[in-house]
Amino acid sequence: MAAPESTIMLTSSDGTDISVERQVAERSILIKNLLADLPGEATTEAIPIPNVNEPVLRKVIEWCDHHKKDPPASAEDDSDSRKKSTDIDEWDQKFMQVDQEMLFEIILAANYLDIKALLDVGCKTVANMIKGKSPDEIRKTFNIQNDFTPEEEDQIRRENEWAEDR
Amino acid sequence: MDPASEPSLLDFCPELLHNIISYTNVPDCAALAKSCTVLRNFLKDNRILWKEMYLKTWDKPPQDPAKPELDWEHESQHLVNCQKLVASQDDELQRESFPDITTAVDHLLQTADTDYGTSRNIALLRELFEDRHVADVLLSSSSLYRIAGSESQKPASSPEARQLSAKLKVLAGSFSDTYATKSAYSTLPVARSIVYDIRRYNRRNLWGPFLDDGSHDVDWEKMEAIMADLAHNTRLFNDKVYNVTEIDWDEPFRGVTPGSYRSVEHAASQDGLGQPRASRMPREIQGPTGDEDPYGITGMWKRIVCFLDYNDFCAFNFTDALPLPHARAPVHKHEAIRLINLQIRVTNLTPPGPNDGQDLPIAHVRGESRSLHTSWDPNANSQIRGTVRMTREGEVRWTTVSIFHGEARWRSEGVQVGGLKSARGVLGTWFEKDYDDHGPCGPTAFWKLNDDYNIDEGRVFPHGNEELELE
Repeated sequence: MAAPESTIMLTSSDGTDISVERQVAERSILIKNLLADLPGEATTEAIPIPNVNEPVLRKVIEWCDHHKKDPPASAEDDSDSRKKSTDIDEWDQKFMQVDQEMLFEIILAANYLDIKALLDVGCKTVANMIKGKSPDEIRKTFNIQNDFTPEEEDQIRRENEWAEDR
Repeated sequence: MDPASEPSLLDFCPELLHNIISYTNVPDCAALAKSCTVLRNFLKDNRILWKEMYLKTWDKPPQDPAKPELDWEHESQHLVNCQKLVASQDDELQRESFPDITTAVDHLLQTADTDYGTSRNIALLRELFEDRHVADVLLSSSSLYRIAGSESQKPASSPEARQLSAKLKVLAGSFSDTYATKSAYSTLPVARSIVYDIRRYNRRNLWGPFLDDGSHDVDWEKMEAIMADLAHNTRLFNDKVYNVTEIDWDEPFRGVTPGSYRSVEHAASQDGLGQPRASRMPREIQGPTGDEDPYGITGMWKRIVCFLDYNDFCAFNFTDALPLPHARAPVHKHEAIRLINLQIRVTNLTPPGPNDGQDLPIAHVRGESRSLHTSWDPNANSQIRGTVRMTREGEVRWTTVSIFHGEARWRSEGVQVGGLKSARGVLGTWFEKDYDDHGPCGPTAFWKLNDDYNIDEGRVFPHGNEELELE
């Protein structure tokens, strides 16, 4: 087993090498499994992360570093009725105060690197941007085009009347 | 950077989109579906996502392998729609929406978690119904409010809507009685004029709280009158003497979900009277379940019976020959109340008859009925026999007969509010065993205290287990 202070090297998609504490990098299940499969001496070589560019990778590492002491994600609680907490802790909220492009990139990176807790924080942040908004506000927020024909508009309004205030 | 290469919400793979939307609330799904084609198509018929949305918002429904899975999408939308209707300030819209609202309330109760304190469905119903406006419109639109109630309370225009309002009121409980203003006319004298009106007792309605059409479907307006009468009398009695009720009819929607019965600490209930409410400790062990007692009958029950002085009863009923549907005048005479402990058990099960619900057998019941007042009262102690069965409508129907020294005397018909093994128990009517048109008759209620059954059957049933015809 590697000593906690051991470091490894990651290479971003744009070719930058970033040195990371192994324990921090192992918040990523992808990297953790990869390291487990490698023979000891191979961990000195940089691991390419072809889907994540440098700014995003640095941001993800920042998150992993802050959360390196978190207990490992418990076996996923898949019980149907689990009440999904939509709370985001304060540090994470600040961490997620980035432009939308970066936010989406973090989500994609967390998904690719298999960092469930970060993925959930990202998805909750986007969900909070949706909550309580009108269709028009949602389109503005996410730069979505209204592509419905007038006939469709009418049908869709009727389909979704159930959510109207009475 | 080329803007086209920027990631967009719509470019997320279905899993990520699912993950994001699952953190929004059900009404947000409508706004998303209305924003563009991609999201609309993503949401439509997305069973897994809608199931997740449903389960994070409402209690997980009990799984019944015999029934098809819930239509999560449709049910979620229906429930949100009904919440919006209940929250509306538009009285007319609400009065038109009784069928939808009652269906939603029924669904929420029938699928609720059995723990009152933690059920999300119950918390939602409380939030929606503990409201003055809702109480005035949705809970006060039965025929009772032709005479009773305040200026803002009036009966709904259709008999169906009046029935449904009464049903909502019975399920919600008597808490909203306390909303009545000083100027409002109490429901009590009007409720009395229904429950003591012998003209309303007939073969078609089984002399019980059933409709007059022979369907054995519940007459919720009669149930509402019974509850109003008993709740008032119990409140008076509690104030003056003892704490009678272990369950709180005044707590919104308490005990009206299937399986909500919990055994109370039996040391407290065996004395019956004068026990402080603090002794209502739920026990770990639940009642006998399983095939031999599908209705959760065996155990100790508390019963209350109210009656008018027989002279008052006769003066009310027989002074003139007013025909139905003309209502008799409100009754301002005071009633007497009797508290009774029942210990009953299931003796055997028989197949349901053609007019009964077919889901469960008929349970035959016997036991002892003991007055909590005076042991020298000749009406105090008796054998009790009965049957419990499902109606075709799916309600739990109770029939009891009290037998004094081998002779049947009183009979009762009732409906268990909230269904199978509900904590609220049974509301119904009592009357003479041969259906005597001269009465007397009146309201009764009983609810289960605990699972104890420890009577000396040789003493209570000296003649053994002779059969009694209970149709």
